[in-house]
Amino acid sequence: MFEGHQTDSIMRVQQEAMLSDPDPRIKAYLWNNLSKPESASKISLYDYNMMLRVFFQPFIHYHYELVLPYLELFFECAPTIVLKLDRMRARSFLAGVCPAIRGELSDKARLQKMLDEVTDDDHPLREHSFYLDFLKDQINYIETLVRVREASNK
Amino acid sequence: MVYDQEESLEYVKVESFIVKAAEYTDIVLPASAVDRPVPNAFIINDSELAYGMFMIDERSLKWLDFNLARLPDRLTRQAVMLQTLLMMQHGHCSIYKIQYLLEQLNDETSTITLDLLYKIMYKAQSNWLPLDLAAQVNKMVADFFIIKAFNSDDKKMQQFCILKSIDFIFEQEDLDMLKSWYLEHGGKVCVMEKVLEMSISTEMSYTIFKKIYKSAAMTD
Repeated sequence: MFEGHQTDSIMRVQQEAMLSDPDPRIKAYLWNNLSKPESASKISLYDYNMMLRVFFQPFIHYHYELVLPYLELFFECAPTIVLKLDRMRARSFLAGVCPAIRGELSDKARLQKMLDEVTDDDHPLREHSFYLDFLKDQINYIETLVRVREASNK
Repeated sequence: MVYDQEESLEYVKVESFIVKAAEYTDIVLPASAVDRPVPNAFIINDSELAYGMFMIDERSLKWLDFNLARLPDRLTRQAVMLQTLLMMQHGHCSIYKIQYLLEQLNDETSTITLDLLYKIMYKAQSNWLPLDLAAQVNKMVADFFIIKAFNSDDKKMQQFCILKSIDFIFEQEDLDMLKSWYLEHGGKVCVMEKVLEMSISTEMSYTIFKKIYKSAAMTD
């Protein structure tokens, strides 16, 4: 479609489209780059956000099914990401991969547990207030989703 | 207050009165509202002068499901639309009511109102729409905008509606339709076998291209 055209915009679209291929190998590649602080810190913020966008596309069912195993890993690796990655990328990672959109109470319980674990004043995650705010927001978000679902399934 | 006289609607405008939240159980209605039969619908805050969340009662909501389009004033229709969507967002009515709402907006020509609908439903995807309901709702909204483009002879309206629809297209059949615009119709938008007069902007092409790629990867 864009044959013969090589502007920055087109190249970015092409790159995003390539990485959007619903291929398990590409999902694994993206996850490794997104979730490992040493790899993630070498990627530009623009590319990091783009990779997050193409990694988790919850509304396309075949994309969603491919990332399900990784969503389970989110709960384990989120604290490490917050501690080891810069604030901008860490925030993007939390917002881009958190499975709260499923609106499942089991996810809410896991997020609450993560929040409860950071109660000690000297806990290293305490100083990352955006992390605590994020967990609270996601818990509220799941409550909203559950409420909307209940009203719709009556 | 709206009274449905079948051929026409009778409005009884109740003058504004202030209700303090703490005293909501003890409201004294203005004289114009007293001793009148129960209307078909109460329209609250129709001029959008007040702040707050306004709950439409069940009886009014049912009437509006089938009659919202008959309200002659655009701002009133818009106020009702916003209140209904807010009620869905807070779990006070079913998200499936969107189907009635979209049907009532079939003849809506105001791009301001349609843009508001688009913005709210787009944000709903990441703010309050559960994933298990999203597929159905997104399909309804996508179809709404696509059919609106199909029914319009105005190129600008067609372009407006097609652009809005793309953010709600996730079903394979709709993704395939996007692909067919390039592979079968030489870059023209074709909806239900009708080639629309509108042209596809470069920005729109970028968005469509990304969607098509995902589609092509699964079908080729």
